[in-house]
Amino acid sequence: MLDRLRQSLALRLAVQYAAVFALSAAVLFGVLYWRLAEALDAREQSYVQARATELATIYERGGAALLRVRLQRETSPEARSYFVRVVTPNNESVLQSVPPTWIETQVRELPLPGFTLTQETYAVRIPQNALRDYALAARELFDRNTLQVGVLIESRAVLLAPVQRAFAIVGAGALVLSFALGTVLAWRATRPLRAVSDTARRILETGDLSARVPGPGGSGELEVLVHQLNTLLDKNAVHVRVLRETLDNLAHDLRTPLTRLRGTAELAMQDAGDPVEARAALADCVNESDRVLHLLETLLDISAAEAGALKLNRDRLDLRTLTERAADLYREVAEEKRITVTLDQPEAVECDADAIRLGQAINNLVDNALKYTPEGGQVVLAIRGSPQAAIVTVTDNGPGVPVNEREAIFRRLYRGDASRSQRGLGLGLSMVKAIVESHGGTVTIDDAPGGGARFTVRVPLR
Amino acid sequence: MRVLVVEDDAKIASFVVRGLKQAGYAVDHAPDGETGLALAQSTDYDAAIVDVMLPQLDGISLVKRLRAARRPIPVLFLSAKSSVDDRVRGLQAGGDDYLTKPFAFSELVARVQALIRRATSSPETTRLSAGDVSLDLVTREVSCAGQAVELQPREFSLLAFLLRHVGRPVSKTMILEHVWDYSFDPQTNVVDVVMSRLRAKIDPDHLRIETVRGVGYVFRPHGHA
Repeated sequence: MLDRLRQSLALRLAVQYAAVFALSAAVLFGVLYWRLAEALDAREQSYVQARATELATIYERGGAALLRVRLQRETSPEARSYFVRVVTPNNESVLQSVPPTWIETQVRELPLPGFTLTQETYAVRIPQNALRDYALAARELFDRNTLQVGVLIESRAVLLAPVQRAFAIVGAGALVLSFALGTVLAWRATRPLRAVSDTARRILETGDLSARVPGPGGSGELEVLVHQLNTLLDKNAVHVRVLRETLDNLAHDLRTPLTRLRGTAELAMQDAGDPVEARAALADCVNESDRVLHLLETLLDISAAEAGALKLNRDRLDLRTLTERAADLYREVAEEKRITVTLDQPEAVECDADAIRLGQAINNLVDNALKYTPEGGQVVLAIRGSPQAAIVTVTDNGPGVPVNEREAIFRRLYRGDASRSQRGLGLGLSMVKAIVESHGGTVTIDDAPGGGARFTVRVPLR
Repeated sequence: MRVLVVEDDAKIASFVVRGLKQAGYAVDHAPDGETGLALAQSTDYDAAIVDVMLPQLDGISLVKRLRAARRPIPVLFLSAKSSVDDRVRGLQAGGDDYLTKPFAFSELVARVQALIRRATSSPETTRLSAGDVSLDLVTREVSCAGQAVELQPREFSLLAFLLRHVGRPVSKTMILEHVWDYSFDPQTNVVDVVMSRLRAKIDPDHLRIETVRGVGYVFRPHGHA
């Protein structure tokens, strides 16, 4: 449990959030503290400097004697709290006035200038003990003596202690609050992730493919993730359904020829007398099993294409090679029915396609057109290019396809009324559709301008 | 003529061996790839029939190793995979022909014969003939029972193909491969159509070209005579 908690994304986020908060608060406080200390120092120093300037003016007017008299006359406790001393360049004291509150050690500890001042006045803060600091100003006088003015002030630590305390209390509180709030926020933000995980577990444990990740739509990253996952699950469910249906259909479609095969064999066994008839029955069996195989392979191809699993060897090719090949393949078949096959291809049309597969689709369309066009008819094989797609149309002047059958003719094993007498498996057009769609294209049917059917294949240019 | 059969399925192997023996070949059988390779390297065969899926050493690797060892023995692959890719893979590995399971046995024999003849080919004559039918590949003249016959180009190619295999059945797939140059079955009845046109011109009574049910066609050596 503890381990899981430690690994919880929400908790980790909250901890990181709190750490960032603490760091930025510390930086903020540090800057604030530093600025405040600077300001305090500046104030204290400006006081001692001002005092030093005043006393220097008196000294300049009447020398040490006048300054001594003036200092002795000071009565206000505020004014008397200043330590004043005048020293020669050799650090011999000329004048010294010690505030009544000072004790001797404090005077001794006070450093003598001992150096030449480069500025007119000079102020420093010198820590004296934990509670007090000296603020000290020095000023060089006209006779090369130095005037020192000092005052005891509260130490920086004492002055800023409340600030530190305030920060400690407020900071700790804010840290706890930010951690708590961060945990809640992160917990809420990662809710879609938990929903994804719950759904995945449900699908894994129960095999329930209809499970979807709940949650509102939106354009945030996690909402998009949830949406994409749901789309993936939808597609997956469709694939599984298609697969099941395909298997059902396949089983059904195989049953008929297999029954025929079995029947033929059984009959031949019953009247085993005539070797000629037995041979004929065996040949029928061979033919029938070839038919089953062919059916099986074609259905598997179509299923693979429909499921998007058909492997395409796409190459840049000129569609004219495919139409010319189709026309050539069916030349004799067309001649038999005295059908004129015309190629209408004013210019090269290139696209990226699997030459064998797309060729097969075009062959199937031509085959289909030749089957349904009456003797002496016309079949036109046209190709056109457009900026978006390569287009092949196969037009015949046969009876056309009734509107209510137009969708159905692309279904597997569908045989329209008109086609019952024709040979074939009823897979040609579904193969066309599967191949073209696996190329990302479309195949449609409408009426040819002069009557008859017109199939249009569009393969998008990539 | 000695043929090596490398096939792990005992049932298929037994009927292939039996059939080839009936067709007059001496046959050795290897049940796995390693044995097959060892036999092929130690014995001079006129052809080998190799299953693609084999235990120990698969058929493709076997043939690659044979080719690497410069054994020019013609190879026919047998495979349950029918896709164009698999076929191309087999041929690229050094196979000479490819037949998909299940197959008509007579087609297997016909293909083996074609392989052997191709490997030992003497320069082809310009005239092909059988019985009272003869065909000139250069002048493209055809005569039947002493009469000149006009044939369309594809009828001509079909007849030439049949005459090259006189007495041996050829399947529709083989005809599509050699006359139409389709290496896959376009699933049409074009072969039947051209065949019936050819028959109408040289064999209206089906005496010369016989339909072998379940297999294909065979040109009888002494049909009419």
